[in-house]
Amino acid sequence: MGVITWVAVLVALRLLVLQPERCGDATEAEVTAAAASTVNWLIRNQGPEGTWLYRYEAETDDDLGGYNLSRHAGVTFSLYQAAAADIHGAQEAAERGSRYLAKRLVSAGNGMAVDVTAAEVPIGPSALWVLALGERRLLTGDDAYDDTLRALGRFLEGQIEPSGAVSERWDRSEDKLVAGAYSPFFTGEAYFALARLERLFPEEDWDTPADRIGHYLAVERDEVEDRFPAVSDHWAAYGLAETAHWRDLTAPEADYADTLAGIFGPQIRYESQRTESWYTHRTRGRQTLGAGLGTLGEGATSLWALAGLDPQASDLHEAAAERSHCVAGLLIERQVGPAGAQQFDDPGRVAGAWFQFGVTQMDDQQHALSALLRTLPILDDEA
Amino acid sequence: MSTAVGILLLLVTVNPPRRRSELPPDRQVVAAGAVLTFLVLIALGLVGEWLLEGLSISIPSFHVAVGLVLAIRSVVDFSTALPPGGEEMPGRRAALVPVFFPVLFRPELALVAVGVAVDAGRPTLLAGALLAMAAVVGWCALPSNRRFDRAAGVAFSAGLMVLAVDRIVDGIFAL
Repeated sequence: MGVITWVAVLVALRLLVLQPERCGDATEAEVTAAAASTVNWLIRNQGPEGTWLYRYEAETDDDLGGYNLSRHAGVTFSLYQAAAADIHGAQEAAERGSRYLAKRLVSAGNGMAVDVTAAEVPIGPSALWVLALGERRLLTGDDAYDDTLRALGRFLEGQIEPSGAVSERWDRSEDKLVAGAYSPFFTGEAYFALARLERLFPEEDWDTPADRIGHYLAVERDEVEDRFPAVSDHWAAYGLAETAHWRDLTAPEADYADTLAGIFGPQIRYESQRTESWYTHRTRGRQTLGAGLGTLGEGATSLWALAGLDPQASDLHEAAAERSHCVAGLLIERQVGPAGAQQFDDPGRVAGAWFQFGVTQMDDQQHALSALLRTLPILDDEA
Repeated sequence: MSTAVGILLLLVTVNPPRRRSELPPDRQVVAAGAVLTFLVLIALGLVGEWLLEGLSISIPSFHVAVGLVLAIRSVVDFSTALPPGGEEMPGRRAALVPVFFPVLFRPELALVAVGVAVDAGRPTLLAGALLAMAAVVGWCALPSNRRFDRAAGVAFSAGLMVLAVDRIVDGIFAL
């Protein structure tokens, strides 16, 4: 009986609970190469006016159409991050992306927003372009877009409700925010954007609106907006790390960093157990999108950055490094390489990208690229 | 996991009052089996981290697994009568069977030993395993009282349930 118990327990644990976490051991060179390959995808698949191939099916070689300005701005942000990591061609592609957005600025609230068509303008593109231009500003020191940054910041500030919640849309005809309309991710994007503005322009009081959102995210958001499970908010993690550049976190913000750690960690461990095998499909489900995995990496790397800046979060340092490293390994393993791309009709639209069910979308490359790039300092630190 | 929790976890996992009903009456044999168990637990603690790495298991996932096994064990121990003793090897070899195996060295105790070593540290494992095995030997030295053993065993099982849930929650919500 004793032997049977031992065997039953160990076999059941291995098959059901403790499946191997296949993180690999990505090196700095491999991560850099994967990031460069992604940048090359974004360069090859950028049109003359600065937009990217949005959604593509490899098997049928079909451009599935559609476009999304938030994702355009997000890719632009990731490319500036790549430029900061000295990846060839990234900055030029990002500049084309920025010029496309600059043509879509409209007066909105006290500032300007990106979007020229919709009756209700979502704030995501504006927030993400602030992040892109902020990255550009840190990289180049060029002040050409400073007024745009401030105008976008004023627009975002005007979207904040008294509670610190952020309205996801601005009503063009009424010239005011749409009260009570919230997005799971735009709030974190606005938080990060305003925190970045405070870092760029410390004399201009951007910390006040950033702090209002940060406090709301830390103590109220998931309950007020009835979000269950709690939002896996990598943008908020970015925002916390950005805030730590100019002040220590408050106690609720530090607690929120722990909460986010408890959201990213299990997802990464679970994802790392997924393979393309029949068995893990049934016991762990299918592998997530490149974008989904990338956001987990962005979240974990942001917590690592935060841990290095704020002593209250220092206990996250080792685990954040481990999980970030794991995500980078998974991304590299799942990225389509040049050889794998050759079996398709248009390898240029396949190599360097991440696919799920044969389809890739530009934000798969955006989030994966950011996650890879933000793992580089961790690997450098470990070396 | 703090040192105190690590030590407590080892103690309630062993559950000395409940184990007594399965152990032979010879105290020297029980002590010898306890020493053997202690040594094996320490050995497991020494190789635990290497073992987890080799099997590609992260520490938080391992905590969840340990917690699940402990939760099942605690429910079984909480709700069932004291188990009878099993077959014994003759003479001093009874320290091996049944004292070491299958009574003391159980899957849940092996898992806890590894978990305590990788999380709270090997000194905690050393202290906890020493205390737990001493408690087994000490409990066997007390006058036999099945009703008291049953009640004390239930109390240990309840403590085990609490710590099992703590392990699961700690493992799930770790980065």
